[in-house]
Amino acid sequence: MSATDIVPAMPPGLLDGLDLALEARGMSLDYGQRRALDAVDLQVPRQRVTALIGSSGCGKSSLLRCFNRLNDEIAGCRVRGDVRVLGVDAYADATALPELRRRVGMVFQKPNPFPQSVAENVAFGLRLAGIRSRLELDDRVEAALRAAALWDEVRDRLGDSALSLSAGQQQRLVIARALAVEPEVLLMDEPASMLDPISTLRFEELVVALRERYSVLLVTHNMQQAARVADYTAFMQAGRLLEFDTTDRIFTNPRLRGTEDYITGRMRESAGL
Amino acid sequence: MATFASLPRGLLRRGDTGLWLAAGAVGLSLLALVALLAVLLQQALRAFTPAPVAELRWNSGGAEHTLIAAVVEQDARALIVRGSEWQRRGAEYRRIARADLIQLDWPADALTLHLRDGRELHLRGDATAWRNSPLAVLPQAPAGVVLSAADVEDVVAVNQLTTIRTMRLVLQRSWRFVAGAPDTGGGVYPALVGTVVLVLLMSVLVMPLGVLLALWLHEYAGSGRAARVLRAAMANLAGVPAVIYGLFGLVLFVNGVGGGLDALLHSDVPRWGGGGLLWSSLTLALLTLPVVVIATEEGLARVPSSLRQAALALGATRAEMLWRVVLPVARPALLTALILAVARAAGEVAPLMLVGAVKYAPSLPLDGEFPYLHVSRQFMHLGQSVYDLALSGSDALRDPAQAHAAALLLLLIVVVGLNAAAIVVRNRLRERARELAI
Repeated sequence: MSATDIVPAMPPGLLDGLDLALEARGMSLDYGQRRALDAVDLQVPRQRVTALIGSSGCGKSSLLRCFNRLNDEIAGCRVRGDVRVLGVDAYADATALPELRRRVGMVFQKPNPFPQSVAENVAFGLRLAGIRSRLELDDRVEAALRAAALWDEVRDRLGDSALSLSAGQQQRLVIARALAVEPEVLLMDEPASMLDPISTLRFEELVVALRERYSVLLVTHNMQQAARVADYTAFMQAGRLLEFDTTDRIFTNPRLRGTEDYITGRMRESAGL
Repeated sequence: MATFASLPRGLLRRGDTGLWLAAGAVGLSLLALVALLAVLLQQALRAFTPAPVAELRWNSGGAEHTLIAAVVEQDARALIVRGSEWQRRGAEYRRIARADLIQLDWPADALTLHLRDGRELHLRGDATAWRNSPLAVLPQAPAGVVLSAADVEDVVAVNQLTTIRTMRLVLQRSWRFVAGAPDTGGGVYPALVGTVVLVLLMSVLVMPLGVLLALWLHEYAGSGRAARVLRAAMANLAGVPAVIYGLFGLVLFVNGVGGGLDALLHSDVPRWGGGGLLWSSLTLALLTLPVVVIATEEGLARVPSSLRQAALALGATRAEMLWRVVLPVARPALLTALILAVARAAGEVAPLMLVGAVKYAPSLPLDGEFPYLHVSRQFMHLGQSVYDLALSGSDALRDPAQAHAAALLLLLIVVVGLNAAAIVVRNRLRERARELAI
């Protein structure tokens, strides 16, 4: 019996009284013969920021992509166990993928705006939702750009190519694109890894602001970032979710040796010691 | 003593060998292209340059003959002359040995009359008088031949031509060749129209089919058995000789579908059951389908998966993702596919001979009469014209020269013209994509 079976990942009663946005119970994921996630239990509370940390290849992104079922696009990928999004079984036969994905927005590691204008990028999801009115489109594009703290920088460049924006602006643009369809959950897959320090700072401020309205699940390699923006932090290793707790506790007094090693190792590294 | 200088040993040790080889290959290809165009142009010009007219006297079979004729070829031993074509174009060629020749003059008042049907008459006379009152000086025609002033296209004082006048004549006749009907002494306008309409119709047919097939292969089929079989079939189809497509089109479209349609419509005369523009376009569409599918698939493969995922994550269905993101991004590749298809189709002749291209079609496939585009009609094709003029023309010297002119036209207008148009459009799209991709 391994340590994880004895010690539950989450201290009992931690999320009592909180609504859950995302829930995975006993979830496993295989890519063909290779097991990427093994019996993962994770609960992500509503209107909080939850960080997902762990070394590269430990299954963070795979886990993230289970919640909007983007893994379905990968041939040979099989998911088992219970995955609930906003209280609904995400892998039920009756689940409509477009609707699920509209309610669960996603921001990728590399900013991936479409080769279209700034405004068209933001309006993409709105058009998919069937909104045709120019007036409504304009309003919601502006609202989304404001929410992503990008409006003031691009208000005069709405017709320009999205690819002419800087990387930091592009990343906020794709956040605006995700926000425009008014999702309830945001999945973010190392969204700040390509950004310079200033853009990263602005991005982190944005995430904290988003917490008011959205439930955020954020994959990050940057420990300080997790410490700064997340209410809760989950630590993963080799396809297993080992520890879940409040961010304070994870960073000050983790229960597992593995968590501490990972965090402190990274801390020393990034402190340049 | 150590030194960095080393003498080059072996060709490949020299850094610039590759450059020279590449430059040589490029030069050779360009040379071949230029040589091809030069040969075509030189031969084509022979078809349009007026031949000098001589007054000849010679012995043959003990009798003395005289003739005013155009000297079209000559060497040390003999002349080849073309007399007045009272009856039929191309019927008056004569070979006269120099040994038999008694007298050869190049009279300054020699005239060549070009008739509207392409025949030429040669005589001596005053060109100005002709222009004033043609009928008065009409040459004496042999019995049974009626010639009226309206038949005469123009009159040229052929031995007094200046260089500029010759050039104007060549241009005039080239234009008549391009814009004229076949019964004006060779004229490829119907073939030109037929070729262009055929290629356009082929493009309209093959592009949607090819793009959809490529989409299915690349986006939906995965690596299943059906997809593998279809991919292998595509690769093999690309290598099938064109004439086999012609046979296939004949059996499937002309006899099968066309014959069936006729039976269904109870028509007594075969309307669909004969070769026609539609069947030819369909045959060419089949012929170019592999090219379109392969080029489109390559384009689809180059669309970054990050864009696909972005669209899906926003709640797009697969179809919406393909239609709104993948296809727009792959547009330059679609145009590449079109360019390749056009280049392949415009040059094909063999399959068309079986499914609708004819030597002489009485009416154009495109005219002002409803429904404007007559897809069941037979049509003429430049490639077929080249073949006919070169091998089975009625004029032993002028027709082969015109075949070269038709070939040049096919090369310039259809291949270069259609391709250039497609390339311009593609570059414009690329430019837009680049503007978006700064």
